[in-house]
Amino acid sequence: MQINYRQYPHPVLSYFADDVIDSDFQASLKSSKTQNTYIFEAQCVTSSDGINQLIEEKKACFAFHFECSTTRYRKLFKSFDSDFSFQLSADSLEGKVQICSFILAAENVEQYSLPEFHPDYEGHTFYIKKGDVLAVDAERTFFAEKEYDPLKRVPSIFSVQPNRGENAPPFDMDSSGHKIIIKLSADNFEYYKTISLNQNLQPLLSSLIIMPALVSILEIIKNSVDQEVELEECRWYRVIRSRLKELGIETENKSTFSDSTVAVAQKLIGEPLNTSLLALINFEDED
Amino acid sequence: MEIQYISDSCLEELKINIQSNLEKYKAEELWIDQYFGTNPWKFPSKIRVENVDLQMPLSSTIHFDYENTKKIYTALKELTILQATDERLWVYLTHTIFWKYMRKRWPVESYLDKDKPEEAIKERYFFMANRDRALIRNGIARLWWYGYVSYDENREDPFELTKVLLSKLDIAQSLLERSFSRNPDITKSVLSVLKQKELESSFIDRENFRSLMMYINQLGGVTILDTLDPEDLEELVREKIETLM
Repeated sequence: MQINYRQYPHPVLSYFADDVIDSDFQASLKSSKTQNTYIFEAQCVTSSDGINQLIEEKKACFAFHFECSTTRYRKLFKSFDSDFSFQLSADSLEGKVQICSFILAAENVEQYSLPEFHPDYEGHTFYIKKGDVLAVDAERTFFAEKEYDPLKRVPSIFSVQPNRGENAPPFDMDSSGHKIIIKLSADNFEYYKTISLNQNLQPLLSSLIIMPALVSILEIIKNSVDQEVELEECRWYRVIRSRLKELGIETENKSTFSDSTVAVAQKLIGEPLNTSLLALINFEDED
Repeated sequence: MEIQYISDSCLEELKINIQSNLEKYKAEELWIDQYFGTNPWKFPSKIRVENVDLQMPLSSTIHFDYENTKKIYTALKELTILQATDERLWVYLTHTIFWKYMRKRWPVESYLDKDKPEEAIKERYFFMANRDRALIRNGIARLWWYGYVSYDENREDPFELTKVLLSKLDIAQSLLERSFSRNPDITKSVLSVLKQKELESSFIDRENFRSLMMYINQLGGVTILDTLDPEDLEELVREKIETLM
């Protein structure tokens, strides 16, 4: 559920409009996880006396709406108390989870009016139905990860696979899934498999295969504008983002990404060029 | 019947090679074992079920989706949500146990005149990129999810609403592709009212059903439908249907 800047047919206390003035609504959520359960501690507060009065009379309630498109999970947790906790099975979530926090009408209200309404609404009342939004806080997301480990090494988010098509290009890639799939033509894949058995040549493979793909990915990240939403769905992006952060690069702050993508890619995968060249020198010496 | 998973790596390989494997998708016999040869491509799950014999479709309109949903959901009712959203499980099933069914229900020949037949194969035999839709597009996963969203053990016939859902294909698609349908209470309320209307011999047509879906969607922007009881939801759906008919 995406809430930002929505128009409502009645005044709503929100961070993006001034329907209800000099008032705010803040909902915080602390989460912890056991092996099978997510536990959430909610704390909600509004400075609107009118809404607080409705909550006290149990005509309105605090609510958190959870939605996870990967697992088709959608559920509302609500309470008349400003502090409350709830839990949900860890098995019901995976990937991106959107959380919206609200104050909702708990019953129909015939003549809804608050002393804090904007003067434009003076003298007006509204018919509010059970479930209608009275206040909304900023939407948030979290990622319910099953395999994701932010400390994972960058090469682990790559998978090299044979492209068996008749006119398959020697080297291609697909970054639309959780991993970055490097597609090698059938011949190249066989060579790759043979070389990968030799531990000493691993850095060379990184330089030849992982490096160009990673540079291409970093170019996408560096040059994209407001792309976060789509890329965030991919596990590989979240691993790279957390590794970039360790290098002082914030993907949402382009000014921190001033180094060339080639230089950054070398750092991300442990500078394989040096060891690759050394491996080649040693290889020549052995001859 | 032992259910297995296809390995991550073999799933990736199979998926990037759909185009070059188009001919294989025309084969009546299983080919996946031979394709991977000695490469260990599957691994066992802890899921054990009775054999499931799906009813073979007779044509594109006589497809027995309702009967097959009952069979798949009954056999695999104990799947966790995580298992039911795992592409590796469904890709194993579409390429092995239910291959013959897939050939009849989603024959690759019907996609060959499309621009990108590989996209249609991805949609039916694998998971498409949109994960939410993927669950109700994969040829076997969709049958499980149809059962999951409509099975109601409080009814004398727990699959009563499943029958409504699949009475016309358009209902399943129009309903399940709306985000409000992720809440089973909302989905069941819509189906329950459709069932009552059916009993009153008052059938809603395709256009009105779409208008109803649009209305609920718009309403969900103002009213958080998830807070309503099934009775409230049914009332709301009934009222709207009556204005439409």
